[in-house]
Amino acid sequence: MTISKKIITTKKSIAKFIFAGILIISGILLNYFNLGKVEFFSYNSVGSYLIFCGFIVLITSIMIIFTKKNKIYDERNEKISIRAMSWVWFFLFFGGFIIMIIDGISPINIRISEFISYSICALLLIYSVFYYIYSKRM
Amino acid sequence: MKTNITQLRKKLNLTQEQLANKVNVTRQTIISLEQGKYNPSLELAYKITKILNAEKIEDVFLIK
Repeated sequence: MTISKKIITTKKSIAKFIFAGILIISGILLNYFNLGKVEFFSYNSVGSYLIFCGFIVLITSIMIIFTKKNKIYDERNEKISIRAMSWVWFFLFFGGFIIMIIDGISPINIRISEFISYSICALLLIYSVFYYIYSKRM
Repeated sequence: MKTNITQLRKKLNLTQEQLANKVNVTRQTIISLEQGKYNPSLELAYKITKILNAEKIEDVFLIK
């Protein structure tokens, strides 16, 4: 691994640890000040959910550090990923535009948390489909 | 893009896996390169040329 790549990965790891810390601290603060006490993605509060997410980010960051030695940088996979991601962005903007038009015609009544979770699932599905297509083509 | 990777690799008795490990990519990338499905970056093309003991990049990669 070159020095520049090492610096980038170290910076990424530090950023991930900071992000995990922010999630955990904000979760603790929300719980301490009794904010966000609603049913949120099956958690009893937004704070608990943030703490959970923070620990997940922390664990994955630690796991990446320990498995980094065997990681292969593959430019083909990167290109496939970039192309699949460009389709995700396209569907995100196009889908958002369509939803805005539909909402203008007849208002959509759906909880924002449900809508976001469905959207994320749809975008992940689009990403997987295009990743598979490009991996077969390239 | 056509390539001579298969012939040059077999001359050196290298498997796809071994070549992939030497240039630090996955075996799937080598398969795609051999099938002419994927155009490599200049860096990867240079690495492969060097490992396959070819003189020039044009000896390994041929533009159709």
